[in-house]
Amino acid sequence: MKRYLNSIDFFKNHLAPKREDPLTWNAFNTKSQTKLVTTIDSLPGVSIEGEVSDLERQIISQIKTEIANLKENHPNINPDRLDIDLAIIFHRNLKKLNWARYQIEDYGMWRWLSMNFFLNEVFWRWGENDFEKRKFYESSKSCYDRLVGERSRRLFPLRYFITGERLYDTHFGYSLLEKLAIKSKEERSGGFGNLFNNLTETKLISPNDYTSKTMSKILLTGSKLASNDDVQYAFVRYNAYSRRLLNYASESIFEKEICLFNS
Amino acid sequence: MSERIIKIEPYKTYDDIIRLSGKVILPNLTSEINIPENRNLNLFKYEFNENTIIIPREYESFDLKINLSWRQDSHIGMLDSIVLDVENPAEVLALRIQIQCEKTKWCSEQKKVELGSVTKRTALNFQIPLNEVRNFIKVVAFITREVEGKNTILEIPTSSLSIISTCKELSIQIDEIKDIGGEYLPISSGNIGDLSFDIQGLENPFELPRILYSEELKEYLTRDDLPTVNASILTALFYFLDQYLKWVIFTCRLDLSNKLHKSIIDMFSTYCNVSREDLIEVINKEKFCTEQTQAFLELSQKLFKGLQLQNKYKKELRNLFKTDAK
Repeated sequence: MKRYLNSIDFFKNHLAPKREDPLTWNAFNTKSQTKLVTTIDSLPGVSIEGEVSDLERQIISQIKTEIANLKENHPNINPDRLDIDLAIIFHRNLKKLNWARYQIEDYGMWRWLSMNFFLNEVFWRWGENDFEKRKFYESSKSCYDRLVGERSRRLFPLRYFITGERLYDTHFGYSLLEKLAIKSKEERSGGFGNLFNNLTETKLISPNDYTSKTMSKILLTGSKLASNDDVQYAFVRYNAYSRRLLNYASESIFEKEICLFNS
Repeated sequence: MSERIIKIEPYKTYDDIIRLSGKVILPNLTSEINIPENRNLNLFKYEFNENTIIIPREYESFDLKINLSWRQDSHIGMLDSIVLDVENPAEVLALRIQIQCEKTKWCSEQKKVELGSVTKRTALNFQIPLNEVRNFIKVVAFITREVEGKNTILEIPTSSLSIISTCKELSIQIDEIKDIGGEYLPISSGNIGDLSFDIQGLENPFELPRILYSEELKEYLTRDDLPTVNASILTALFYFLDQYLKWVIFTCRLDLSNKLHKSIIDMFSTYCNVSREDLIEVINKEKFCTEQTQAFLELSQKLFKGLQLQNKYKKELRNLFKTDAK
């Protein structure tokens, strides 16, 4: 895979949309991947290393096809309700390249992958809504944030890969993710957004990601769906109690002490 | 209206009563590598013998064998006071141990050991998959309460999985940690005329100064396979870091919520072998007062030595000389 050698400051200085300069919004709002790549490649000082193998190209193309199918199959569902499906798509495919946690912090690589292939997908997920409301700066900024990732763990493909990695189980496969995907598409919105944020941002070190899986399962796959606040407070409580819980407490302890529902 | 503050003491704990020691077993190597007494093993470019330098990334996994033993002056009877009168520590407490990587958040299976079976002969085996970990792995262990108990004495924990003792961690470095010029110090190429190196921004109290090297040297200085480049950087480091130390003490408006400021404090704390608190105290003194200046001179001297010791400077230098001599 290729990777950018430039630091995030380089992209911040050369590519970030500026509110006062509408010309800087175009690279992200015109929805042309080729135009965005040409713009990046012509930046003075941009530096790339590595090669893309045939298998890597195939996998990227497969991911794009699967996302296109997902959009087509769920035309009336808001894209943010499809995040778990995206996590399955990215994780299942990138695993075929034997990617693992070692790659997680190779942000230059994730940035290259994100910026060179996923403009349209990011626009659909993060930019379209604002664009339709004629908030052009906001739509370009959202796309920039997810494609370039000033906060690295927000990088579009990385965010979904990490979530997949934490919820995938060697024994049960994608069953938890699939259950979450079904729930997230139901009418009532739950705290899936906060679940994503916490799975990518917080420490939660536990064998086989037991903590991530247990909390996701209790909060979002039962008959009652935790709200965004419920999820947030559950993670706050977990962090407060983690000294005692040692990441391996039984599900009943998580139910009684951590994953409490407010309503 | 008066307000009464009731202080609630946490339950009693006894840290560091069980000692961890360990060995790394790499595939195809005839013998094992012991984790030293200081609990830190740097496996990156470890000199196994004259002919074998270990690069952990060349392996898919390695085995870690962990031994447990009571600290010399400790024994299971000490734990009587943190269980209920009717309880036996060997029955209600256990040791839990796991290997984890903070960077990637990978964690091994957690193993549970009965306290009665903790002896020098107790050995636990873990396999470390290298594509799941990065930079460091840590062996962490706790003594936990395993059963719920009914009690109202605040000094005694009763909830299951309460941690009553934390063991000192073992740490194994897997990858090269680029802590100088990489994670801490901003270094990049720039147009600096006839100079080869420059440090800019030494007068700015808020932002870290930047080390610049000439654009003309960029094609060489961005390579890490050239002995002359490594030698130049090694030599220049003393000056660069001394300048940064001057900056952090005399110019910087320290903001500990700033990640970069925090990193640089950590770095000098390590290299100057001084606690973070003492270093911050020096920085917060009246600027350029005699006491501060004197402290700087002492720290500068400590930095000169600490930098050499922490980075195995002599070893690096010897390797460079050896390469050149060939």
